[in-house]
Amino acid sequence: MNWEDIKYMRVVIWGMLTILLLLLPLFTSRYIQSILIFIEIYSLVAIGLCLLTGFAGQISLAQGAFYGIGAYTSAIISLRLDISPFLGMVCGASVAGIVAYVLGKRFLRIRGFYLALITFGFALFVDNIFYRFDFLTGGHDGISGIPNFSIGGFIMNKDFHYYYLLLVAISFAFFLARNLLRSEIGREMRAVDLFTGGSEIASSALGVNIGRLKTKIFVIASIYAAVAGSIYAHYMTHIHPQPFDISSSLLFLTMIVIGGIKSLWGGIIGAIFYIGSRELISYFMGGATGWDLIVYALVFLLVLMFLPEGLISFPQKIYLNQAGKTTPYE
Amino acid sequence: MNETLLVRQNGSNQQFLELKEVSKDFAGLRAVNEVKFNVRKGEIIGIIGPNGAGKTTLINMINGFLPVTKGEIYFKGLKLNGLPAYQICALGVARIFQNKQIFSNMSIIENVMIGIHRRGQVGLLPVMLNLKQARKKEKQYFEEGSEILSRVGINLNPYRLAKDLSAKEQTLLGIARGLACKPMLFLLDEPVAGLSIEEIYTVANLILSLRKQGLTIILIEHRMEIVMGICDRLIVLNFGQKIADDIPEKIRENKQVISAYLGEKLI
Repeated sequence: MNWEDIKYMRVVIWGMLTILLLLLPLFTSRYIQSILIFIEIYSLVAIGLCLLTGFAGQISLAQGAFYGIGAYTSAIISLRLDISPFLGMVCGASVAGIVAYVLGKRFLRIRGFYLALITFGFALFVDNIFYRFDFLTGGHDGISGIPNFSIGGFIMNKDFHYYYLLLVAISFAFFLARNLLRSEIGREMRAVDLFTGGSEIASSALGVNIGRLKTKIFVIASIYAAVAGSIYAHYMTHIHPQPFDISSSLLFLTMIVIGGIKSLWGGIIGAIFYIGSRELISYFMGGATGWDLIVYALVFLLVLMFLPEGLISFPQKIYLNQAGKTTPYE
Repeated sequence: MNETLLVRQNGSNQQFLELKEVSKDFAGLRAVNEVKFNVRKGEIIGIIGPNGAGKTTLINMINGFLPVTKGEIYFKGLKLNGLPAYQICALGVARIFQNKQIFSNMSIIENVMIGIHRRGQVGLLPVMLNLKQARKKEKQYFEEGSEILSRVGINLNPYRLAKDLSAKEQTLLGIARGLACKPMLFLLDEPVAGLSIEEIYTVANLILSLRKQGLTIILIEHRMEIVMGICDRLIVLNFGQKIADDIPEKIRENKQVISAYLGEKLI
């Protein structure tokens, strides 16, 4: 296969995928659409986390909390102040961005995994605020009656509205993240990353402010999570603290590890895999049996053992085995 | 940042680089002991001494990688103590490393472009939206990088991966990367280690030509013929102490240096 063929095939595959994604709501039930929406919401968080973990080499255990901050800020502001939910989303993203900036500025200057520790504490803190500040957050019961998104007089109250809104959001988020990785900031990230032949000391000697670089990425990842949370709140119209607790943060982390942290697609594949396996298992086993998490955990371990670069490296690995080649790591 | 630097400014000091009784302790072990010397603008200073004499430690302190235990380092009258490495780079101090520290999975040109970034960041939004402004900047980085590469004598495909280069080319790339920061002071930590004689001459000539372009150079080197040949002044360290500081001809005859470093037999 020569290069022209490959290019042609890529265009065809991409075109077909785009058409499929655009037409999907036409022949799917509301149930399937809600599953697709959750895949999209989780993908949005996961793309941001891939940037942070896969490319900036930092672990955040607070993506669930930022997801929650986006949801709660947006919900509270649009309910209490009676303003457009889109403005609420901007507020939620700003709050998350500012918090991430403050945390990052303080804790990303230091080498090592301080961010993982501090975000763990932060996630617990945020979770407790959601429960305890009931005058604002409604405590255990959460907030109901959150308005749907609306543009002009058009109220987005159908599932497929949100499907398309999220499709646009993800495409845009992906576009931004891809540009970032191809830019000077992406180059600096590769220069800093030890696992891909970079060197922290050489890059700092060349004038790279590593702390500021990682803080930027952390802020972007948190804004992605907050936007996803905001869309979640206005889609569900009802939120409570449970989906934003520390286990959701861990879930996002496992998702990107399963999908592959070294690629933005990894986050999306991880989200598809998590929601897909959960729904399939509960469909066949009937309801919430807990089996979905057991299977998910098992797959997580198997992926770590046999595909450390995630599901996204699977085709490549098969190709290399067929051709009798080995990866450089073996 | 500028304000803090102004506060640090010490008007009376107009030496180019000045080390005042600089010491470094590693958990009680004194690696560098009250070393003091001055460097004038445009000099090539050689730092020599046996293994473990504290040469690299000294450079690491000037460069901001290691905190100074005692003493002060001034660069153009600015106190460097406590500044992080990236700020010291911004002030005009570049360095290359003993083990090269090339970004091995990046292309040659990208290695150099990293050093240019600091002088022209366009900000997050234009970059993420891939605006014209950002693309123009990328092009500038590329052109400036190519120009620096040809200046040090690397005439290879700029998209080749840095790990595929020979030892000499990696050394030159390290120098190019440092030059990309537009330094005034260049710290060279054993640049010719592992090179053949002809390659060493290429690098030595490059160092001399850099000095002609106005750079001040501190060179750590083991090979005596190099330091004797190109340095204006030599500083000899032994067990973290400065034992001599003189022109190469005098160092050659210094009894203390001979016994510490060159070996008694040579007398």
